[in-house]
Amino acid sequence: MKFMFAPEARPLPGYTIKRAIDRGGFGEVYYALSDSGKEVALKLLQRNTDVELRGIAECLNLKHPNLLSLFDVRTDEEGSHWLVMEYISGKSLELTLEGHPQGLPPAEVENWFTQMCAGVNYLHERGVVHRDLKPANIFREGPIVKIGDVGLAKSITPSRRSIQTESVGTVYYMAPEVAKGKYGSEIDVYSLGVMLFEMLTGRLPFSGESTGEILMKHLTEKPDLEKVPERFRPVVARALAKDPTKRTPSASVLAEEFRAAAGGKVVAQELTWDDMVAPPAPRRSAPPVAQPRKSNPLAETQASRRSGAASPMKPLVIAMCIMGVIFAMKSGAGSAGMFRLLVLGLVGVAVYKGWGVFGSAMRGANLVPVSAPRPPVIPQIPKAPRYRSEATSPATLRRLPLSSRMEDLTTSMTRAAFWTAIATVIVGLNTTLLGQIGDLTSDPARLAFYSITTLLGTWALLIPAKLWEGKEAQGPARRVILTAIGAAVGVGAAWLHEQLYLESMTMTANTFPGLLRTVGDRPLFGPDLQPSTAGFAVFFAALFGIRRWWWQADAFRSARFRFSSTILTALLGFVIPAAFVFPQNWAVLWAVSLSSIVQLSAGWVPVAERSEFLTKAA
Amino acid sequence: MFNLQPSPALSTLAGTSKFLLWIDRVGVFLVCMTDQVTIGGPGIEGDLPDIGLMAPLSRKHATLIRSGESYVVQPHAAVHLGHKPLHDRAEIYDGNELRLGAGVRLRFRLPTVMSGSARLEFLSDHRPRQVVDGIVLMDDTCLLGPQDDHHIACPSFTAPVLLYRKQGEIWCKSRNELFVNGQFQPGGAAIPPGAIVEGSDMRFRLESLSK
Repeated sequence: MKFMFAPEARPLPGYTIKRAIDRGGFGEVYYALSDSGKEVALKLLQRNTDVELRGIAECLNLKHPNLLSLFDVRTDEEGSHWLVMEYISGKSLELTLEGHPQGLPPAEVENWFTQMCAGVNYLHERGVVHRDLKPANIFREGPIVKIGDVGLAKSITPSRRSIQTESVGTVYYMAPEVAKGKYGSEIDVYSLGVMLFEMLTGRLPFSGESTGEILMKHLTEKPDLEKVPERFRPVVARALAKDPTKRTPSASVLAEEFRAAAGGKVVAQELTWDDMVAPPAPRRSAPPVAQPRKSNPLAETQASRRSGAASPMKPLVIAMCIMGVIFAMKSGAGSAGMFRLLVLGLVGVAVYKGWGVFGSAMRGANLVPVSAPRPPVIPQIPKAPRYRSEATSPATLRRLPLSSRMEDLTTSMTRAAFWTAIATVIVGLNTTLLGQIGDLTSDPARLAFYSITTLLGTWALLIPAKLWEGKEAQGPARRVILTAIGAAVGVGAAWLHEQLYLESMTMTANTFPGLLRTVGDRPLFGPDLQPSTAGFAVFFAALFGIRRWWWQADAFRSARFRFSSTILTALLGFVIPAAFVFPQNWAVLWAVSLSSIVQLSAGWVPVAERSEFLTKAA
Repeated sequence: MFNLQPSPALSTLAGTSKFLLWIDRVGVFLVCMTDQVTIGGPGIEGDLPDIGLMAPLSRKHATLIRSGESYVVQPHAAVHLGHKPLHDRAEIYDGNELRLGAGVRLRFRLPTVMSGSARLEFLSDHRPRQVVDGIVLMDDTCLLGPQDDHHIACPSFTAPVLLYRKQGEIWCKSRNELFVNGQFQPGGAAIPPGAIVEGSDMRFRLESLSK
């Protein structure tokens, strides 16, 4: 993991950075000393939104022994905002739990939990909801427990219960109603309940392989309380109630119930299973909410477990499999049919694992209120093991001056023109392999069409990728933007296609039949069997939106050219026409060309030079 | 109390008696290079201990002495080894708990038999004025790595980094690539005072301290 600032850097007057502490969800955190020797933690706020800064400002003067103190918000010479905070040298609850895989001793649980509840209750009494309670945000120095990242909480009033900036919170600790954009203080109580469960058992109540799977469990699955000591079960169960109105009403009540249970008394009311799984009832003024489709959540969840696919992505996977079977049957029992089946299966698995914006969209579709003004952004489950160290990668944050970006971009675009020319010659000469495209050498118009569209597409991928390089990735947002850019490229290709009077892209021979032949009332191909404007737009939109193109263009990608990236993109080009009718041979050709040329053209820093690169950048 | 100001005049780290090791994502450690290390209470002038803790201790409460591959503790005031009060010099072993005065508790560790370097862990809340996460009594080598038997546990490191004395200087080497002040050092290199040592998954800086 690389950090922007080196030891001894002084981004703020009066403070010297001594070492990096970590990188959290909101920015890098450094240990620094003031000129007089006071130790502080400096958090570089990497998003710098006004809402965030206002949220921090509201919490600057909150004082409680169980809250990490915020000293100030400062701005450096480059306009970046820094949060100056109290430094805690003790272990986080996350690290403490790592050392206790079977759970913490009861006395330790009480020490941590009651102080956590006290800090959270203080926040709630001042109208602030933390929204990101998790073990990595809880620290203990000596006997004192402190809650961090308080400044990143949002003020909540009854009229602003649906305040929507950006959904935060680690999905393991996220209350079910967060998926519906609800951010009342109950979500903190739920997070406390999850952490209590984890401290008592060493395990999370809900885990899974994808964000969607975990969210669905939060929404519908009963927590397995078997490993929770019996006297604490009612306390944990009530804190984890799906319906916030049936949840423990406050953090202070939760602490009282915990103490009473620890002392052998029964205070928490036993909940029935229906209480625990009932989805949050819509408020009177709230828009209609899409209910989970399961009429009997327990039965269906168990059925899902048996089938091994509890994720809402299941229908898509099934659809992929059905498509594969159809195509295999259409192609006979030959190897081509089996290959298509394999390809579709692979894509289905990839999408199921949460790969791509379509996966996110599908997952969100089950959870988002039907008429909510803005869907909540669902946080991503960490893709890597939680404690794995990270080397340099496209995700490494870097400060790149605009001049450097523009220089790299200009060079990359020039290289792209060169490689497109080479590709055009190869395609032009290779009439046997690409027979379906026709004898391009005898038709300069077709060659020009391929060449111009490829160059346009490559540039359209390189420009945003280079502008995003080194910045914190907003995967879904980037995919949406790339989808829009792809659609624009498709419209440009269609215009060019029409201008050149090309009639060679017929929907026959190797063309997939395509499940969708229209988008809305717009056909994807015309009566002359040529792709329509909608056909081009949809193909390029899908090609651009599904792949993580900025990784292929990033200077910190693992290798300058990876065949696996090109092959994966080729598979995508092979499969897209299965969903949206498009000439398959052209689809694969463009997929291969774009992936190859983007990788060959984009600047690349060798691994051995990256540390020096980052040092200079910092 | 050790002085926090770096000593820029020193050309080699081995020329100083102790240094701070600032490790990204791990913490800061005080590394003592001498064979005898005094532990005591805080002070701002006079004859200060090597390790000055913010605790009600005598100026020189105890001395730890490295003797060959073993260590002994010499009490100057109330010191317990485990629950046993010490009145005279006694040998200490891996895992022993030292109690100084009424409340200071330290655990002595010899993480690996391959090295005579030892580690002091804080069991109570008492720390030096400049808070450190641990203290290393460095013999010839000091290992930074992901395992418990390394002198400084660095969970995020994928390979250990060895600090060692050579020709009056502190050197470092690792199986992974190392850069010292941005220069690639494939076979190990000397670490000048204040140098930043980096790898693909780690970064640390050595800061020499004058007593």
